[in-house]
Amino acid sequence: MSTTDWVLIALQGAVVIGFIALGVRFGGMGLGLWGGVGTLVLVFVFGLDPGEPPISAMLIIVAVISAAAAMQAAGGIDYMVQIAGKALRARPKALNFFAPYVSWLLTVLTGTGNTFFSLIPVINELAYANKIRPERALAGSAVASTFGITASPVAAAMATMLPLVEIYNYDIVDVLLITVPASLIGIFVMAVFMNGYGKDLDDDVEYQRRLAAGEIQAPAPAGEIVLQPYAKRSVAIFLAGVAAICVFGVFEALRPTVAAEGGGVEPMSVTPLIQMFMLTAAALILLFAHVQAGDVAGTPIFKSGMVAMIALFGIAWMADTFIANNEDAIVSALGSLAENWPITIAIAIFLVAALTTSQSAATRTMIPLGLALGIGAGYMIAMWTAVAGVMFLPANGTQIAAAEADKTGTTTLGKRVIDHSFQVPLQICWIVTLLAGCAIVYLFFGDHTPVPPVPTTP
Amino acid sequence: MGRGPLTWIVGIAVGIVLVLGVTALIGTNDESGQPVTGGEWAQNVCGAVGVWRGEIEAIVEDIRTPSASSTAGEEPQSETPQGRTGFIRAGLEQGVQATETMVEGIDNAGIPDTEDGEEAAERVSEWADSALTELEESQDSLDDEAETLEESIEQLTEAAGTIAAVLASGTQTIVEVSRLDTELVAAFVDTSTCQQLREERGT
Repeated sequence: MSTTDWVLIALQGAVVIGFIALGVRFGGMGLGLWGGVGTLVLVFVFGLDPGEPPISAMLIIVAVISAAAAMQAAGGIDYMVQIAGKALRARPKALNFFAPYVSWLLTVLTGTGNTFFSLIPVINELAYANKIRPERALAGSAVASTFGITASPVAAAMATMLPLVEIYNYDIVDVLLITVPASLIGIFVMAVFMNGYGKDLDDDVEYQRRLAAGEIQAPAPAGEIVLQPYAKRSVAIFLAGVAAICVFGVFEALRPTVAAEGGGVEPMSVTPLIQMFMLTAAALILLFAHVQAGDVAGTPIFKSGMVAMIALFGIAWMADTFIANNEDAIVSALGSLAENWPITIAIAIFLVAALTTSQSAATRTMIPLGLALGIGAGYMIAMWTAVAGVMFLPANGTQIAAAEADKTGTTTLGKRVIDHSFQVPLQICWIVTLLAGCAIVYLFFGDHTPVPPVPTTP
Repeated sequence: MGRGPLTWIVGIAVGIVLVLGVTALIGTNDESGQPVTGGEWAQNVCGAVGVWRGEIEAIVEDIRTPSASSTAGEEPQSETPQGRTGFIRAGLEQGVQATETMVEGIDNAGIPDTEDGEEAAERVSEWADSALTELEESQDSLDDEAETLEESIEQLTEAAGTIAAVLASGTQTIVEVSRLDTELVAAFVDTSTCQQLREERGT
């Protein structure tokens, strides 16, 4: 790579960051629209090949928002708020702990953070109704769901990881014995921190401004909520849809099979299943909770969801255009960093994940490098959790959807690109998870690499 | 905690220093050019080759069944002809990257302190270097535009064949060096990574 190449990459990076910052300033749909302009600049000015728009994530948002909005139209959200209000009466802040763990579990069971989309409207409404700063629960949960990937036996990143450490006698159970407790500890510490993060809603200037301007209604006390007749039914249908996704995520054998490219058949991936189940849940809510289809599009959840989808479209497309054209250079530069200063390997993993927004790419490129440098396989598994760095930049679907869902304005994508609501919980969680993972390896696994053997055969 | 940028910048910096400190404590195992025991050398070499083999397996699987494991596979409707031919090129690029990492691992393994240790280290290193050259040449060959359909198919077949060839020659090299002297025989029998490599080769 010549100096000119690096200058060009830096300029392209500046374009991406600049348009994200501009989009954030405009907010809402503006984020997506400026992302589209950024893509145009990258393609026409710098001659890059256009990347892939995030079609799967966008379709999941459409499906999930349809179901959640139908549930809201049926009064289901009010019912959930009422139930949660009773459950959380003594300790309303328990939501800041409960929500991240549920989000993490959903990802673990399905192997994809996309399932978190279904929880976003619910967590947001429950937090707001209980006068909890939504940012605390939403940002913490979004980050926690990312840590479910390295703790999931069915995630694509796990499939990439296993062949790399099997040679060192680490099988899937060993990997999970390190990543599951480590991420549970990391999430707990993060939740403790998030529990007191930011100002309470009553003291938040932006929220008070929105409240005074009539942009948002004050939360109705749980006791004053009048339930619609089929509210409970809509909640049951929505939760059954989420449960079905989990069941099919865990038990691959239950999934329909599809033709594999190389011949034979393979289980259908979870992504289209999420879309199917959520659309079905929405349809069943219309049918059994007697909701008019026209009312669904008028709900706040539907409006914020659609805005989130457009925002994701533009921003993620622009980011992918930059990344797809520069991934080799990014990986090579960070690989050299780790080669020259092996102690930076964990940070290099985090940054590769951040700059490629791909957990699998970070796993495939950086884990073998760490092993080649002679770092024990167990420790590399602990450091692998740093692939959660995908949330470093605010170009992830769940981040954008969470920020859009929160009408109080507490959950933001930041003004300077990296100062978004998810940054602090992310930093706490990845550092604590990694350190906890290393401690687990040290205490319970020892260092399998290298084991100086004593020759026994003459 | 307040949300001032300074507070969290300092907090993150402290966390990163902690991570660097722990990684430094864990340590690495760079023995390049240094004499090591036969067992240690075998453990590291088999580890490097085993990881590389795992990566090559994943690459072959990606080329064979792109819909199952690649991100493009999530969007079959957007799979383009350009994308399809790109699988082999992308596979070779990843193969080159994986082989570079393996060369690094083999270099770091040092030189076994046995009768024929130097020769063993040299042969493994030679094979790793030649594997890298072959994969790079194969990758370059895809840049030449084929004039006929037959030539094009030949190019792709040769490129895919190179991956299989370096895999086979790597296995053969390990088998050969493991028989160079009695200490190495013992080392290759006893070390866990070599045992695992043998099992994988068997399957």
